Amino acid sequence: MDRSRDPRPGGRPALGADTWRKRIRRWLRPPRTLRPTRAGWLFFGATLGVGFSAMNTGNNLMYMVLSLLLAFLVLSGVLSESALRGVRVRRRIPREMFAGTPAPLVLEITNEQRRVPSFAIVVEDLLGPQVDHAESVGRVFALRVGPGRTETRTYRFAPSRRGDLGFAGFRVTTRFPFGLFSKAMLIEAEGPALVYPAVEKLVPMRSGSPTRDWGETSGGQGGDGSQVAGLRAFASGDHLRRVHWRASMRRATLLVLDRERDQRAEFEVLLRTRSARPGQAFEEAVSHAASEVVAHLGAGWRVGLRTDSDRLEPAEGALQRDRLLCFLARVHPDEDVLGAAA
Amino acid sequence: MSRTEFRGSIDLPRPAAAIAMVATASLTLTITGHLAPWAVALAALGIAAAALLREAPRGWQHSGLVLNGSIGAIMIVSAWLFARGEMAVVALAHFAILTQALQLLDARPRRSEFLLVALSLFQVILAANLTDSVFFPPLLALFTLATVWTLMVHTLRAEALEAGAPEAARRAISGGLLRMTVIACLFSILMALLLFPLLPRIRSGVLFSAPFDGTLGVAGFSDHVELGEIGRIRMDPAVVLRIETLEGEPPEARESYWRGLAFDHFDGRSWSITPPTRERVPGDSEIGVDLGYRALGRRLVQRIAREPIDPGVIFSAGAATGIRGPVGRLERDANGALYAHSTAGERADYTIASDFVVRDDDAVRQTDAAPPGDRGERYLALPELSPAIQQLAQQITRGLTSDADRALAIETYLRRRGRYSDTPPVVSRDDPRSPIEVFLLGGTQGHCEYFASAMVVLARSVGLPARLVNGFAGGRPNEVGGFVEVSRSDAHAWVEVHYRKLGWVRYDPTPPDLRLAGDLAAGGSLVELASALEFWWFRNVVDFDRGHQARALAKAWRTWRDWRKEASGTRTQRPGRRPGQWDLPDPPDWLWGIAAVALGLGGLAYDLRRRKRRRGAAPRFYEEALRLLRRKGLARDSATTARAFASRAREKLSPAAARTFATITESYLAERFGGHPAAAVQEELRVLRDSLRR
Repeated sequence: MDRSRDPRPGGRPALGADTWRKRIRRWLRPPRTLRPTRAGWLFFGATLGVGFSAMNTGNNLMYMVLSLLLAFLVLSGVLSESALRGVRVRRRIPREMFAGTPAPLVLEITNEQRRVPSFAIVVEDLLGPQVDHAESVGRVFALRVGPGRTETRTYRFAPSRRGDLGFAGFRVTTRFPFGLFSKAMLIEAEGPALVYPAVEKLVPMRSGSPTRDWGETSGGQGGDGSQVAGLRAFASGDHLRRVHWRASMRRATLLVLDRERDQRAEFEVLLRTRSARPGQAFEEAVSHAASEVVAHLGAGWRVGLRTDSDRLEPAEGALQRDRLLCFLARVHPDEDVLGAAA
Repeated sequence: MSRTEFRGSIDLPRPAAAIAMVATASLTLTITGHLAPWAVALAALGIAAAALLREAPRGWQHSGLVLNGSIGAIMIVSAWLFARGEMAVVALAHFAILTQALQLLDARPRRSEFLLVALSLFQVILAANLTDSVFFPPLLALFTLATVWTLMVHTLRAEALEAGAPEAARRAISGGLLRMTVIACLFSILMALLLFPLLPRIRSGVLFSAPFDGTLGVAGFSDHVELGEIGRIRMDPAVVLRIETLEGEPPEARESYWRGLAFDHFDGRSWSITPPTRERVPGDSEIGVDLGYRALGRRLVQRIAREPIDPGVIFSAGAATGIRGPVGRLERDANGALYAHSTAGERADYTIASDFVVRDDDAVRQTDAAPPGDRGERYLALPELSPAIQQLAQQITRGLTSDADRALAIETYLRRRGRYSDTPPVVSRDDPRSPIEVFLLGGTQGHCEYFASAMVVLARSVGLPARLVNGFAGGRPNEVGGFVEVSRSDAHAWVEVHYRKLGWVRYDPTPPDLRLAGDLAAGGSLVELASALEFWWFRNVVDFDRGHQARALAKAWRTWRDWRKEASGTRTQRPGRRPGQWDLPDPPDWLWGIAAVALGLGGLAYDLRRRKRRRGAAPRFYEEALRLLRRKGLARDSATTARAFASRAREKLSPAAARTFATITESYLAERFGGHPAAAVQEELRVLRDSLRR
């Protein structure tokens, strides 16, 4: 399922001008591009030669051969079009992507035609602001997609950096039927994605441990969290084990048993942003912070985050994990620091 | 990654279609008749070996040394053929057919099949330049089918290899793909048929426009012929003329003569025309040329399709009075023969009006023989011959007073006395006697040229101006095509004697029995059909030119315009039919109604049957899938739901088989309970079958 994670409001530009630009670009873009292969050039040359010879000699059998060669070209175009027409591609981005870690991206290739199969389809996933100026980050191949069928293919994509990614669309090409031309079509399919910072395996602190080095603080109290606080509605991120089934059946809605938080350990990750500069060092610090977040949340701690300009209250659970990792994916050194540095 | 080149090398056996493609291309080149038998045999052997060793090639088929060495040998042989005097295109044809067979035997990994396809196409192109056989189009159609399949299979294999899933190609190359290939071929053939008449016929002749084959012409119709040449032509049964009568009563077989060249000078061994110069006939033959001849008999207009003949002689049923057709520049010699040089090595199709005269001896007796005004004495000239010839002539014509009777007597003498034979008297070059002397004073045994030459000599000996005429006589009617077919074996020689008021009158001294054998010969309807087909092929395809194109487009335009007028309701009373129009009765209106209802019912029945087939498809497939699983010990009992059974099967089957069976189950459920016709599951069934087999 696509994840469109943008906790910060105002992150997107105004739609109006952008939409018009996109429309004009789409209108100007040719629906298909055709590039002859080496064999295709040879075939062209042969057709021209036969045509010249036929017109030079007036030999009707040469005209017959010429007619067939021209029909071949038309047939190649028709069949290659039948391979591409009706092809739709849908991308399924994994729930979490980490920089430097290969993630499986799933492409669903559907042939919406009712009778004609599509052959030898290569789909390239394009990353970039516009589909016609985008970089291919992965490709999959489907030798045959039956009429009305969907083929699922996976490719592994390792984002090189954290932050927002914009998938622009797909390039679908085929060399079917004769390998004379490579015909391609672009499919616009924007798919924003957020890449979390790279994480490494860390051993979480035990409660009561001394303060760690620069970058994080620890705090909070230990406890077993056994006191019941009450029932509340099920929220995204809650584990199914916490669902109170009896109460849920009575109320005909999913209810979760909440426990007192005063017994849970808390851990606050500190990330310096004021005195930092964009670069390798800052990225490593962000990566380390993300690793701490993941390790401690995984150990059941309530984890928060503090930078020189922001503070995210400690909490637990998958929601908190998403929240913190999203923040870390987009965090940059504070601008004041950069101005002072200049 | 660039997708303009195939990067992987395929190490799989070539598809059978590749063998078929090569075989078809080689056959196309073979039917031209220009390949040496040894080359054809070698190529056939190579193709057969490639077919047999396709799945298990031998070691030498992977050896670059052997294969490249063989190519070198083929090149040397081709160069030797060219040096020996063969045309360059024929030497190339030998090279192509042998190299192609060798390429087929090459079992080394290859990136593409395009070299094989290119060589095959090269063979077809060469064949198009070396033949105009009626078998060319069906072979071209077969070649198209084989090539399309070969290229499709290769492309799929190459794509699968590049994607790292070579086994996927095996699944894709299925019956469905073959069906698509056949449909694609039909489409390309139809499109080619549509394009063929539309491509511009300009015949620029910029580089080289002469036909490649210079030996297509028939000898024996040049302005100098040795005695016996006509006899040699008669050995060949190939068709040389096809004649349709457009106007006038077509002559009977015994009166059918198509005049070619007339010769006036005889040196005892050969005939020639004096003077040998020709004058140009003014006018444009495409529009029509009036030849200015005063007609004495009945007008006969015939359309004649003539095979290549040197030096482009135009044949007519009598003295030509007018001609029309794409024959280019016309020339006429001193004896009235017509030439169209541009058609010398080509087929000619022209319409000619002739003055057809059947000799009336009574009318001829009313006049006397006299040489024509312009240097007519050459028609009385004789070489030095034995005095016995003169004596024989006088003996034959003793007591006859009119020139007509004398000519008739000579003709009758030769017909009764002579005996037709394909082996004329053999007279060596050192023998001072003329072959005619040996013929007349010996057994009077020979073929038409000897009889005609003998009559000319005898006629001139008694003062009758005469000349020898070469042409064709007889022929066979082709009922299927509606024309008379004349072959080279109908070549004939006869005599013309000049009379003061009647001009040149025909005499045929050859004994009549063999001449009549032509029209008694029965070809059979199959042979007639083949000949008619060939005629249609030559006239409408091989000889299709700019004029035909313009006429065809104009006709199509007129037909379209007339149809539009009728469709828009401006139908007026039908005018009287023109001669030659089909004379079919108008169908009654109720017949149209019945036809429409029948068509509608037929369509409905087809649709119902199709729906019923689709409705029942999933359960039948599901039964088939259950049967396959039962064989593996997995049986579904009546208490188990389909989905539950699929779950149970998942544990026992391989992942591929389990997935496929799950898909089939879902299709079955959608069809049975969802009311949606299931998509075709043939592919899944096949995959299931294959998975269970492993």
